[in-house]
Amino acid sequence: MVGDIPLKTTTDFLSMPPTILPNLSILIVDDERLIQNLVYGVLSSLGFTNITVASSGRKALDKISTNKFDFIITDWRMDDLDGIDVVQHIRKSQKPPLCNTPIIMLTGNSEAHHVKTAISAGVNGYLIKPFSAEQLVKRIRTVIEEPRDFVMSRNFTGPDRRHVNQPPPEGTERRKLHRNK
Amino acid sequence: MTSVRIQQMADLGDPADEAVILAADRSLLRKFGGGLLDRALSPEAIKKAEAFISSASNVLYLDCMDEAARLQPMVGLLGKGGLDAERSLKRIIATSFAIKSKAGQSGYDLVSTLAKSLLLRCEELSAAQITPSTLKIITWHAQSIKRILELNIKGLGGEAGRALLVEIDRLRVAA
Repeated sequence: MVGDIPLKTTTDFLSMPPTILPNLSILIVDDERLIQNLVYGVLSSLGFTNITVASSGRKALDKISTNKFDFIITDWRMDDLDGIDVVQHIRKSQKPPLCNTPIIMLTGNSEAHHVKTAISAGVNGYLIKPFSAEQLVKRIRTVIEEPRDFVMSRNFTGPDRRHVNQPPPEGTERRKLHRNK
Repeated sequence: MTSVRIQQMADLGDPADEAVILAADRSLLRKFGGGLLDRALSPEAIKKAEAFISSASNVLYLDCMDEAARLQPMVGLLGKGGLDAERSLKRIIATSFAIKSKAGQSGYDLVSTLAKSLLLRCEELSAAQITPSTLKIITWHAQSIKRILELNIKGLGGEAGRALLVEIDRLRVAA
């Protein structure tokens, strides 16, 4: 058992051939025990074993200060320090590799303005609860297989938000000309 | 090794601002690329993980029942005004948010929709703005959530669920 959710996949998992996934270290940040266990169970079922759980934003920062994680999955709404605070703290640390640790926000906040806020804070991926294992895998694969440049500027620190392989937005040439006049 | 370049943010479409850009960290890709990830995160592994989510749904449902039962006295305190109402409003927001996520995750879409409607309504309010009519609407939401969970109605609840969704829309427009 993990918490109240039976982790019945554990025995199946032990009989599986070793995979590469134990080499990936993941931090789950959620103050809701059932959701912690759910995410933990899903990741375990997928073959990840190097999983650490933090039950609050502050505990997450403690763990981050002493361990290196390959990526972080964090909730947004938490009592002491919310997920956005955690993301901003990591991004503003200005210390690679900590500052550019990939972060996936897993939250029930489902409005468009929430997504914009999270992207502005510097998340790499956004997943709305309820989530499926397939959606989580998709976000994890994107983080691993399509890493983005990391921008550190006065107004934004986080993964490059520009769409890859797309021309710059319309009007930038005109603005450059205007500035050079 | 991470390479660094300096770039004017103007050509990123942002106001002129200098930025340091670190080249994408490809260390994970180097470790897990070349089809390794395909083999590890196979359709069978994903299927197993989906099965785990399904197996957790009953625990989440029972937890939603507890949360819904806790909502009722909170709503009762709202009508009293003052500090009690202020605290109660905050707790209703937190509880409805929790119900929204857990009900959605366990397949109780109608409950999740009602909880979201309750959440949005309460987030727009301060305790001082609670009138008998807003209290009535909040009570209606809390009771509906509890009732649907008691009746164990999964999904959107068919005809009765559609009627409730119409009522939610009506209340939203009226607000």
